Amino acid sequence: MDMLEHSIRFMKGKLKDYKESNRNIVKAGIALISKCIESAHRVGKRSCTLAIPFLSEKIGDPI
Amino acid sequence: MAEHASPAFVIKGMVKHGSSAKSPKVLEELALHIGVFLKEFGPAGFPLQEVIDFGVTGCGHANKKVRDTFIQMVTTIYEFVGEPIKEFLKGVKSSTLKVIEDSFSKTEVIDAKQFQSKRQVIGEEEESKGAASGGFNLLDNLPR
Repeated sequence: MDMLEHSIRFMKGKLKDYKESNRNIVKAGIALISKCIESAHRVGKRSCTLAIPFLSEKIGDPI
Repeated sequence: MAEHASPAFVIKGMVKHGSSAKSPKVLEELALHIGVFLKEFGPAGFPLQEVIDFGVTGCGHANKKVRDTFIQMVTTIYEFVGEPIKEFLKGVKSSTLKVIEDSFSKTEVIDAKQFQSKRQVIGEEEESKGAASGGFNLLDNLPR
């Protein structure tokens, strides 16, 4: 398990399995994922598998 | 994310989630992003079968905005595939199919040999990029 996957997994737990309704927390979660992925040297498919459902679910939410 | 773990992988994840999503806004954005992915990364490795199935489902959506976005997405695929795409649109209602064909008539098919992708997967070699974007037929992505 790489660092990024671990972080996303931890975040998933903190966001109540992505069911968090507080918009500010969700926003921070998205910011964390994008920051991590932008700065990561390598992003594994496991990390993507963890992040995609969350990002797809929130893709339609207003900013 | 698609730059690290291939656009095909991300699109498959999006389609998988999108087929169970009910919110029109989510469906709309997913269709829009799939179109952007195809335009930016090119047809190499694009999961055509999954996306067309998703597109056919989306074209029958009750919400007009969602339908329009899906039609736009199908039109983007048409730019790369051309006429053969019509064979896959059999599940679409005839009224929607007319709108799609109107949209097709206004669109020009891109020559695969001339297409240059704007972005590429990190770590992918230049050689494979050239092979992938230039002269790549999107229909080759269909499962046999």
